[in-house]
Amino acid sequence: MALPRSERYATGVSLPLVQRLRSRDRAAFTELCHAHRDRLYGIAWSVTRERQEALDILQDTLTSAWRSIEQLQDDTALGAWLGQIALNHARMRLRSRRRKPAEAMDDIDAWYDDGGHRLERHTRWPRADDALERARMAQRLATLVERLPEDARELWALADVEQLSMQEISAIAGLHVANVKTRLHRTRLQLREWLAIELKGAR
Amino acid sequence: MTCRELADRVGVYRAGELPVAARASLLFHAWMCPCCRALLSTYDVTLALSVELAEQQVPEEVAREFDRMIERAMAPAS
Ligand SMILES: [Zn+2]
Repeated sequence: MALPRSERYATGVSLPLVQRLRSRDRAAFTELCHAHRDRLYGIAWSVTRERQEALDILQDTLTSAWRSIEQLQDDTALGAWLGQIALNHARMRLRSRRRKPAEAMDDIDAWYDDGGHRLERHTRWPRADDALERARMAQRLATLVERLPEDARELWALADVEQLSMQEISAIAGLHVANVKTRLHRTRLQLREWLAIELKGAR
Repeated sequence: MTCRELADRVGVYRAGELPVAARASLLFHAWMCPCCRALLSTYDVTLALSVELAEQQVPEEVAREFDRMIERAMAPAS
């Protein structure tokens, strides 16, 4: 049974579990697996967007955690540590998967004139309350995401798809919160721009 | 505030973290500028579409496969 989204990302964990893991308690491993399954699967799936791959990453992550639990420095950071392991496995798999090379992100200044005015006139997007149209737009967005450089795609997946907090992403990706926010915003503007171009061309 | 500056601040604004004065000038600019009104609304649409790309819960077959995996891992080594 899946936990409500709000509870899926709780990173704190009672100390005894980590201690039991260190003493190679197999029941504690089962507990760990169940407690972190949904959250880690969410991370793996949002980054790779493939079920089988996400499942493999989940398995690799938990196995790595079991093998290297001694490396966990701060017991209260178990959730973030597992997230880091999952993200690393997801990265390795993405790299071994043959993807089209990423496209360069636009220079945002090029969208504006010297006075800071937007150069291109805006066009109306299809009404987003039509379910079918919405599904089509979401599908377009999923395709556009493939163009992003790996790190941009990762942050977008964790923040905007999985809805992890900036603090969690910062802990998992090893970046300062301010850095996560800046890069994420840059990515969102780019995706919005590509989507606008696609939607204009589609009419 | 220019369109360019507004674009830089949309994320902070939507996160509710823009200071009052900057927020007021952003809203004033958007009121005057159809391009930036469109940017604000389509930025929101882009975010809303991203949320829809999530799997709402772990799929049943993944959950089953996961349980089998734990069972295998827990089986005494032979
Ligand atoms: Zn403007």
